[in-house]
Amino acid sequence: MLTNSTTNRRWLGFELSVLRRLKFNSIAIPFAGQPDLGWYLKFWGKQVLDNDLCQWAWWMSRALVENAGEALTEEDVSLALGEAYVPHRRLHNPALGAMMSEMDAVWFDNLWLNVQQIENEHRRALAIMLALGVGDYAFSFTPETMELRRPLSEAFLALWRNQRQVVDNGKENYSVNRDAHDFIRGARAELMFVRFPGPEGLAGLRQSVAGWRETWVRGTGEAWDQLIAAQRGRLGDDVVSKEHYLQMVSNFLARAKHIQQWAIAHTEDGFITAAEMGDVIKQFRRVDVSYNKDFSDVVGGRNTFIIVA
Amino acid sequence: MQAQQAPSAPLIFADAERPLGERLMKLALETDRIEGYTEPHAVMIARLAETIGRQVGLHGQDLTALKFAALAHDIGERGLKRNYLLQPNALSWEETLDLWRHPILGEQSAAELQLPRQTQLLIRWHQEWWNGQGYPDGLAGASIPVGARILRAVDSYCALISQRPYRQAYELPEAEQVIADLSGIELDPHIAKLLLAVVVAERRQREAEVWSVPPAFEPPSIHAVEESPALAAIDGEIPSPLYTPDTLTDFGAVERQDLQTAADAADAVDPEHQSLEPTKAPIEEHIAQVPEDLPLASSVPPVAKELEAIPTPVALPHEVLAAAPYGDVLMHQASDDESPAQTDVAHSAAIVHHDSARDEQQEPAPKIPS
Repeated sequence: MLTNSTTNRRWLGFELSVLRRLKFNSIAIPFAGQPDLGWYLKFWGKQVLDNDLCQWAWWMSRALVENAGEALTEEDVSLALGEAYVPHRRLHNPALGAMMSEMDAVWFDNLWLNVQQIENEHRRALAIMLALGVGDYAFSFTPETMELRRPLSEAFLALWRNQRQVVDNGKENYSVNRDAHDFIRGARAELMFVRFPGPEGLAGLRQSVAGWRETWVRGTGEAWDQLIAAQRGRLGDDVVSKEHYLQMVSNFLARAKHIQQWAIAHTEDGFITAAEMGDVIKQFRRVDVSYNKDFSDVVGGRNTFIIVA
Repeated sequence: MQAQQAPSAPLIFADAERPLGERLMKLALETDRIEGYTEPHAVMIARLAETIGRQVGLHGQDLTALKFAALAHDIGERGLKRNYLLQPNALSWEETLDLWRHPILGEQSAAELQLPRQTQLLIRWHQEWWNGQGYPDGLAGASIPVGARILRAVDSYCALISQRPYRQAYELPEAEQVIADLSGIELDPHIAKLLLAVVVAERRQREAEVWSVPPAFEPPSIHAVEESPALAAIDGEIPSPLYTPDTLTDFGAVERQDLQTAADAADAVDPEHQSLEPTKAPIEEHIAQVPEDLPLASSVPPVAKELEAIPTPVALPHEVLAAAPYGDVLMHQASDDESPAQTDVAHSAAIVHHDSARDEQQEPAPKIPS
């Protein structure tokens, strides 16, 4: 089963509950992943600075966070889906052939080339976001359920017709595709919200939804290896000891000292406790309050904290 | 029509479940009224959810929690008390986001009712979508507990076949098609497949019962049949590849149904040509009307039917949404030397009262327990 996150498991409703209680006008999110949080915060009138190392997350953020009102038109959709099933002599992105059926690989390969013809970058980002959703859709079927799967172009259209409203909140919202350490050092915001990547790092997500997404948007099967190499010694690298992981957290927080308030989400997974995370934070500043939501009564649920400092 | 369509088997409680179950049944009926359902929506969901739950191997407390969650899944909408729930038109985005709070409010209400914690969480997650685009937590795929995935599927189906303030009920086959279309997007394909197997079997059984119960159905008289174009075909005046005279002599329920299908087809016969081939003209006309430059729009599946009116991007009044609380957390102020783990206090009804109070406020100041 593919997983759907580049960082720890997220609990969006809980995060919104906490952020509703904090006073801030602008927020920096260095490990954004899915841009849902930024999308909600735009509705609340906040200025959002989204960042993610992965290009797929960056494209989605551009579509929903940075985008101030552009919507995908019927012409854009026709352009994106034009002759999507027509095979060419070879795939532009050969890695797709190893990840999915030949027909699907042709469709995604053609779609990538087609969406590059959409001139407006935010509308192009919307098309890419929908295609990423189609990919998730395609991967969600097994041989037993394949009979329910619709043609990919139909799935694209269904997602297009059900897409979320693009919000213009009158603020300059940004989406950035950089290493989180570099991003946060230059970010000017009143609040930083962080979900740190898990100790398994990017390597543990190679077989996830994130893996295929990055392969598609970067156009190469080596995308994930390149990301892993770039994160050596930083959050996103895989670690085996608490000390190593907490040291990387500490190194990151040291670069965020200029941001007035931190809200750090941590889901206990048996490796790092909230207390240990709190101890690292207290190396830099006083912990004001911690919020707790316990989902651990069901399989897959976790005890989750957001520490405000 | 809806009452005929709705699965009608009663919901059975074990002895241990009965006191709370019957209490929830009453609550469910009241919630249905608030939501504008004209039939026992929550009870229907509970019965179907139990059936699917058994098929995926749930039993004991897990199955009980699922049934209770099904009965109380929309209990949070009681806390909304918003007029838009009954309005005949589609919701605006502001209203939609307000409505999206109801699973969290439902979790809190379930805690107040002292329902099992598992039930509370299933209520919280019954609107999570398989592709991660649901609410409130944006869970995706197998991260969503199987009980919540079952609730999502049966809630969708039962809503489709019910009349709503903003649309008519879907016909059963149409609703089944929508469920299939939602697989992999809103619904777990595996759960959707199980659900479809159950509801299609129930529909066919009901259809067979209708055809086999004389008091409830008057079969066409021989005279009436003789006058119908279908019989003309059967008598050999117009050759039919499907029916020959001897099939009329001993037909059961299935054959009667097929006969009716043939009669329906005959109704569509162009009188000038007197052919039993169902006419294709309307379909061809439809295709001919599709603009050539929009070839894809004609293949939009019914999934999008309710959501065709995509709002154009507009600047929204932020204060509307800023006032929407997401109150479901426990907060503790930490002293300098207190670690976050020491502040860990489990979720419970204690926070519910606190957050319910927040619901009525615009910008409440956080309460910090001493």
